[in-house]
Amino acid sequence: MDTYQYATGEGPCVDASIEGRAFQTQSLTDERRWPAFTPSAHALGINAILSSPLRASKQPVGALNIYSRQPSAFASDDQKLASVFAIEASIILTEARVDVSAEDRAARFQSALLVRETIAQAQGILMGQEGLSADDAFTLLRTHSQQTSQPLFERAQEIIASLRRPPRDRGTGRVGDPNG
Amino acid sequence: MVEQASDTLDRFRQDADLTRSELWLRYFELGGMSSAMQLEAILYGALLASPHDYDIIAHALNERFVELGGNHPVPYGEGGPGA
Repeated sequence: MDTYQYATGEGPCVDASIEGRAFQTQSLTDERRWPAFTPSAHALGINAILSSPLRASKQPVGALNIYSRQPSAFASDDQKLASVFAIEASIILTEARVDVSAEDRAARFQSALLVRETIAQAQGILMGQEGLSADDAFTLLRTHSQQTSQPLFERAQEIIASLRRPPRDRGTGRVGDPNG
Repeated sequence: MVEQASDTLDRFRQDADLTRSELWLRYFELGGMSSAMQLEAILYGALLASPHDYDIIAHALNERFVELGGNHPVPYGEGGPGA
């Protein structure tokens, strides 16, 4: 049934998804709002439809649809109950961040990987320099962050940068010494 | 004890206005090894966090609180056995 709405681009589900408010029809026989969709639904024996909007982060992302073969099937209490279900589902959708695009997710995960790798490198440096375990190296970074409110990632970047000193001249210890 | 620790973490997560998936990404950045589903189980109290894992979660939350202008309200060292 939903497929007919997507195919015709009209119907209570489509309107609820776009406008973010509930749509219903109590009798498809008298329904005039969706002329392309209504005959298909009627042919399948559908008579009443209740569509409640689903939202993620307050943005409409879809609709919860309930169909009935009986005309006037949905009383006021049924509409309220459907609304409660739609609100609960919207909370779950918001939690799952379904409004975030796949590209945004990929970019965020790529960024997280870089941060993770930087922190792991700093841990490795501390393990080598201080003879610490991986967990203890993290604790050292974490304690510094806690005491200074400097993000742990920034501290990790500093530790890595400290190893990237300019090459020193072996004879004098001065970079570019003409006598070296 | 397990439920208390997880309840505390999930309460702080809500106070920090982070979704569970956002918290998992921050935890992952800090080197956390648990999957998003495992972290969710920890927050629900269905899975016990190791002391180290607990501290990573706590720190992910604390860095968020610092971003919001706070300090480090989530205590460390309250993980599972051996904490």
